[in-house]
Amino acid sequence: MLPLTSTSRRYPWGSPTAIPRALGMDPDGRALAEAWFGAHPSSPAIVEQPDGAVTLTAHIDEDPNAALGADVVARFGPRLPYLLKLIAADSPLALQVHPGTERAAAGFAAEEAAGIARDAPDRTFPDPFHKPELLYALTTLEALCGFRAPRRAAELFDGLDVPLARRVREVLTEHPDAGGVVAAFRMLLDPATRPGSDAVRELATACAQRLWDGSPSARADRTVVILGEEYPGDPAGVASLLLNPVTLHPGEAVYIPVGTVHAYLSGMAVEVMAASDNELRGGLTTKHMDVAGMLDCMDQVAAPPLRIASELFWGASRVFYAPVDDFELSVTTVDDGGSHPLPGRGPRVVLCLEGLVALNAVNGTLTLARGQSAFVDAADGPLSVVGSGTLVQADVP
Amino acid sequence: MRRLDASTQSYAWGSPDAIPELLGIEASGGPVAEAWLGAHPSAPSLVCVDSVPVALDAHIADDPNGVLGHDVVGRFGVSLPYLLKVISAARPLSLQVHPSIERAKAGFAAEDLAGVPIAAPARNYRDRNHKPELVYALSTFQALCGFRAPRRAAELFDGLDCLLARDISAILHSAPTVDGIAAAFRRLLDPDLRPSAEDVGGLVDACRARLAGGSPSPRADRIVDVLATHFPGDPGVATSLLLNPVTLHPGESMFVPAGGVHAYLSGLAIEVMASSDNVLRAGLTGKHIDIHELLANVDYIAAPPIRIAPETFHGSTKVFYAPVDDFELSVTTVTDDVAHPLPGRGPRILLCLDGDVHVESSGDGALGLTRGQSAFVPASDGPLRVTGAGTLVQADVP
Repeated sequence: MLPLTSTSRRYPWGSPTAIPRALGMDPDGRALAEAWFGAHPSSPAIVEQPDGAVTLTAHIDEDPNAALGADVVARFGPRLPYLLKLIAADSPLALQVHPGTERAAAGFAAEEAAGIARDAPDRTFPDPFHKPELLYALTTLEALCGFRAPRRAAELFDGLDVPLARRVREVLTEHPDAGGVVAAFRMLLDPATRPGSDAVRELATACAQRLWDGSPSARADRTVVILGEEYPGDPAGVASLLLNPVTLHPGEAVYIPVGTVHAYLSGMAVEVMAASDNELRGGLTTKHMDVAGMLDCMDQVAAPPLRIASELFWGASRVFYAPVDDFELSVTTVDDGGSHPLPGRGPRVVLCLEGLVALNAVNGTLTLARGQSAFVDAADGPLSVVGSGTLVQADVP
Repeated sequence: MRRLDASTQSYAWGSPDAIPELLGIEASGGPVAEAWLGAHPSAPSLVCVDSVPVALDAHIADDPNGVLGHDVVGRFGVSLPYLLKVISAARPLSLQVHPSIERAKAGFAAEDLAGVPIAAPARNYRDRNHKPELVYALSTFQALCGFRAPRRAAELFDGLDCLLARDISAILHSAPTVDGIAAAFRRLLDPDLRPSAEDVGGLVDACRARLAGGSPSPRADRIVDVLATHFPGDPGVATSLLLNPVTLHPGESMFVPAGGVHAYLSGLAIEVMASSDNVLRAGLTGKHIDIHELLANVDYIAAPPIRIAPETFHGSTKVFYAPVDDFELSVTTVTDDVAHPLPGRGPRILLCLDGDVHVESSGDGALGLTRGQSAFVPASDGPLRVTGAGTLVQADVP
């Protein structure tokens, strides 16, 4: 068990206070969007070995079989298969899709061949891996995820009397199935057909007006208005009407498969994902966009988001499984002074969200206060926890 | 809004009393495995029209736009996209997989071309639809669903001292990945590779011995024991060690995607699925099995089952969404006489699980439902409200 220090990602949409507060750091006034607790080569966390601090990547490289276990090395190679993050959004961030394995491998190979530096701002595939992700809300979290039912999308545009809404309506009427929603989404974002910023503003104004008049779809209209304020003229704001709104309450989780269009709007969450930084962005961002790439690798399914229920173990741990083999997430709350086994094995990343807990393995003990984290080698074996507090753990199923 | 009468299926694995007790129908002593509430042509439910029972599919065909709504007709054609069932397993039922839409279309066409009658027991594809499904447990519900982590599967076989287990262990250790799981699965089921009944019996004996000696995996060994009691010598028994065991408590829910290998072991549940009867079976059944078709339809993903968390509406309704557009399921509990809006619209099927509730449409339709009674609500009835004291499940189209 080694104390772990996360790395900070200071994207402009981040909250200046939420993550510092959770990690027990002093806010410095600058936006802090994400804290990464993992071994992704673009931003590996730091672990305190007895002989000094090294990156988690270097620690794993020293002895992959001890750190990851032979099983994980055989399945994924000598790398940590998942990445755990804290994410805190003050304002909406990138409309995006994560690629599947084949697409990521092909995109990575193509960009390597083209000689684009892995950390270049216009690089789309910094690694060859897919990136399914599971989001566990710490505060109320607002997001958009997946395409809406076609009927519902049509209703939202029906009440808007502007030319762009009529254009979208025509597409939805022509194909009253998922294909129509996808076609409308394409029409709004494809560089060849996307509306001008005036048309987008006009539609956002119509939504604001409908909201003022007493909208039957207040949540949807509010989202268009907020996105129009943050990213004026960006057609992705209009496209939000084609996506499912999702509100997670603290303790709720949603799974985002590869290929699903999504955008986070606000809130703080723990996020666990396959260890990848591959994102195809289509709007609502100042980062590099690859609209054609996003449209190309999105799933054309109009279905509700996948809310994941946990399974309870030993009365203390809730385990959230995703339908992938890269990661699982558990949340354990202890408060009775007794020792509780932690489910999971192999390489584990543990983060204390609340209180003060001690992790016990056969070879030692590590105390974690709120905001402190640890990397646990596969070789450390099973863990138990005592104390009073809540911790999250990422591990490999 | 019309009262709906379920059609029951008397498959041998059904419990004789759980469904009759829930639906308030007379128990015959024989098994009642499933009660179907839907319009699938092979067993449509009956609605009462002018005091005459009419098959729900015929009722829909009379006025598709009124009954299903333009939107559903536009997306799915003239058919109810989902099928709601009550399922009650007294003992395990087939190891199975449901096809994707593409495979269902191709398989249906091929069997038509070969002249296999739709109702023939040997027919795999009875319709052209996929069959993703969502299970909502009414009692403790035991199942196997999806492939285990390869490491965990290897551990289970490692501890068994018999020929077959050593063979499977070797496969899993030489490829401790999903490829190894796939190879082990084929080794156990493929007609050219599958073990003899005697070899399966050896593995069962080893599991029973391990169980008696204090097994590190009592749940897995117990499942082998139970399956072997019902299906001695069936390689599906050994296959169970490659699958995730799932226990759902009452009120918990799981989604089984098309391509997901699964077997239900015991319990009473509500099941909602795309309206299809396409089942590919590989064992643990007296019904038709087609191992080649099953192997061709399986998704080899070694990952945990998908447990679905509901979203709560109005404090009274929990909606369980699946990542498909054919169906959603909601469970509404009312305890007072305040009217609660029911989410969902379009063609809806209601089933009262408990108590006595009164359902009202925004038009002039209204119906009282007591435990076990069900209703079909056409799209043209508009939004519903419910009063009374009881619990109601509803299937509808997202």
